Amino acid sequence: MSSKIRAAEYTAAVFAVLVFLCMCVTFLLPLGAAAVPLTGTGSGVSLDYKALLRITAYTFKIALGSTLIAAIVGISAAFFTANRSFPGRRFLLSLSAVPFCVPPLIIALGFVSVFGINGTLNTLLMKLPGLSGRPVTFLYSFTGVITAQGFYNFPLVMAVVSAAWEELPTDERDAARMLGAGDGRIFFTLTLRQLSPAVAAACIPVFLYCFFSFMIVLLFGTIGGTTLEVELFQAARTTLDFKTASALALVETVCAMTAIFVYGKLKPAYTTGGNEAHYQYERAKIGKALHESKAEKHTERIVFALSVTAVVCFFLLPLYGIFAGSTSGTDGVFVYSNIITSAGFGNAVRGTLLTAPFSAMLCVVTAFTYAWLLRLRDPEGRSTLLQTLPMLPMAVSSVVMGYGMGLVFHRGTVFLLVAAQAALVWPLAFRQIHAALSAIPQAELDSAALLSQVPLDTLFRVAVPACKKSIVSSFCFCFAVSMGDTTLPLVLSVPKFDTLALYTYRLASSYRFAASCACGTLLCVLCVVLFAAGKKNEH
Amino acid sequence: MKKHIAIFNLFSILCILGSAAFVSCSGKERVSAERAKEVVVYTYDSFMGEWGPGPQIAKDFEAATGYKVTYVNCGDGAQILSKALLEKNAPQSDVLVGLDNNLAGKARVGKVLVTYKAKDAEKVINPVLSEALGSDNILTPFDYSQFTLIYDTKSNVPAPESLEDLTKPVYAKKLILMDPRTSTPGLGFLAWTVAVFGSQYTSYWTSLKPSILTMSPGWSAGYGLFTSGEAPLVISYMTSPAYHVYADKTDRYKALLFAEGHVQQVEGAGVTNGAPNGKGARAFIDFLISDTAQNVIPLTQWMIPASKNVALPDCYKTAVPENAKTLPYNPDTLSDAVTGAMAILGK
Repeated sequence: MSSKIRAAEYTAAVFAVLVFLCMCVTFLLPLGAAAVPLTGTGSGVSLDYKALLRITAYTFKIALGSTLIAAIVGISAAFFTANRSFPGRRFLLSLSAVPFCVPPLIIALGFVSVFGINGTLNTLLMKLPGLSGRPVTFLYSFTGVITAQGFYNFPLVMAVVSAAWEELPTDERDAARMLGAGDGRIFFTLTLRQLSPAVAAACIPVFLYCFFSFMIVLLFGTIGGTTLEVELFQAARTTLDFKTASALALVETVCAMTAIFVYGKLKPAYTTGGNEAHYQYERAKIGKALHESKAEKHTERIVFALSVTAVVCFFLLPLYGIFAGSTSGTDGVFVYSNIITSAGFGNAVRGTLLTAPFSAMLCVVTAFTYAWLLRLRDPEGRSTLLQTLPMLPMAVSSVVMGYGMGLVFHRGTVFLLVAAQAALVWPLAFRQIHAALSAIPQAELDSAALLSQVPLDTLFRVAVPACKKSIVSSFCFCFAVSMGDTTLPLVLSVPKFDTLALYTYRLASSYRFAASCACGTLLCVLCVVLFAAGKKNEH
Repeated sequence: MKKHIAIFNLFSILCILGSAAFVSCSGKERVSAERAKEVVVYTYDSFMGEWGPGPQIAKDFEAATGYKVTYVNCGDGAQILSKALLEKNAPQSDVLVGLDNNLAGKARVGKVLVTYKAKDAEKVINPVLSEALGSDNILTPFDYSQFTLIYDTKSNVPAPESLEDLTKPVYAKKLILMDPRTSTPGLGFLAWTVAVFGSQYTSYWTSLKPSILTMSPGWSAGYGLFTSGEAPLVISYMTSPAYHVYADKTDRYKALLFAEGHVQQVEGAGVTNGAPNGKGARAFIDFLISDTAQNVIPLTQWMIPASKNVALPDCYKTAVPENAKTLPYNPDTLSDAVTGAMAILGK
């Protein structure tokens, strides 16, 4: 091997470790700063513990309910996207990052356009004879909150579980089938256990996103209802009671971390080293799998029909509602040309392209570095602490982080924004890259180490190629999250800087709701195109 | 191997030291010659957006004075104040634009602004507006509007004539409010109920609860639901229908005028305490209430300019009710009122 290539490998490795350390500093400094006001003098925390308990319980209830819906819909959809072939399969997988890139306000307006009091569904039902009031009112209730949040987040579960399902070795399932086990029994006793790390990898971010949710909880939830995030927002930004804000930030972060650690203790360790490489198989059509009995094929068709109906009604129709909303203004479809030709849109696109790709790159490098070190240090995933530590940034809400950053950084720059976004988002990439690294058989790594001149050969010639798919996929996810972020750009207040997500909000706050929906639609399309490109690259 | 570890350690230490140096430097005040020609304005999203008044005002100000304006988007009024408080010891801004009468007291206590009486303020600004922001001149009013309910005339419910009317069963789930904890119009509605009902406001909120469809976290979400037809009534600004007349060419949405009166939001701008460019900041405040800047406000900010010299466009004349009575209230009591109202709604 040439010395130039060797030098490049060393440089890359050192660079990766440096990036990882920078991310740690960028994350820990504001987090520490957010706790500082707790130590100050002055009045105490203006929230009694009974109220805090009630609010915490309500926050957990909403997050768990939403995650459950996302998991049920996501896993059933993942079964079909991983194992069956049907029209629209790749399109469905391309939607996986949409929840991250479209601002919640626009998603809420999409749900309202379908299930609202004046939504399409009620308008259609009112044409039936004998109906006096609007029959569909569930949206403005607890059910509405968890339905909207569950379906809004299910694509993430679907994408991650589907990818893991495709990689599962089929030997054990085939053996169980030969011994007479039905598909249902195989799923609940074998497949679900094998998939549990992937399900967790997908459900933890969903749980945390719902735990920190703000817009949909207030908009559709119980009137006067409150969550930890709402209380924190009020203390940090409205009443400017920084001591209470710090206390709430601490409680919220500890709750989120506890949830992650409890899961870390309960979940089975990753099984590494024993898996044989999976083989590519042809996906059967719906209800046409050779090994299935007639009854199983029938059940599969019913489950598919139910899943498709749910996904169409609760996800695709609200997305279409956003598009329909964009053309409802006086400009009609010309709203798109008006937006694209406006000066502000150009600036927003430039700002997005200046931050999102670099933030995603930093995320991938940081995630890969930690995942590789973890693979070497704890190949069987037995250390709960090491496994769950990288989830810490996800257990900190953007309001807490924004609050801490406001204390530390007084004038933002694009560089700082990129670093701050990456410091918060890299766990999303870590879960996917770590899953891929864990799937490399230990024997393969041992052989590579034995036959290599230097340890870095194993990294660059075995580990990186084995994670190529996950690297591309996690890059796309992080790109989407950075693209949809509105909190950090506002908190860091970078002068003369704009992003598409901020632009979308600005349109809505200037009475331009149709244009705001149009910008949301463009964000969706960008995301779908990006993911489709990523998937194409995989194949 | 030892060599690699040494390199790794060296880079790690450099990285940490570099980060720490970067962080510590970010807080230090830097006043250069270039900075003396720049006026840094902390403001909110819609003011500095391309449809807001910010860009045009900056352009005119630059042409008139030679100063360069840099807007910094802080989100909303509360976040402007929050940011100013957090960087009080090392201010980065020269002007804060967008603090209203509800935030003026907190800005005063936090000592983030200095007294400055704008040139011509006495001549062009109604003293009632100045008084709403305090008599110490830390804030100069630049626009205002009363809060009211906007009514969808295509709905099948009659228009209410008072706040009390809203508690009638006919208005069940017909009202969209904003959360007073997170939104300025939401807090404005609460202030309105306190101004009208005094200490009895809690009873009013108990009766009002069945009429509320939702309390959105911000104006955009609430008003978005209203224009989607979710409910026929929404809390907003008296000036909101002017936008629909001007841009959508419709008079479908009407601002309701209640005989009992309305509360008013007055937005102001002030010079930051310890501003790196105080001279430029004062010039900006002077310019903000000039005829040139004030004439930009009606069709961009959709609020009424503070200057008496500005003639309002036709859409205001047809869509914004005149002679609405303004109710006084004490902003300092609102924190307790928020707690009281939320406790009732949360039951």
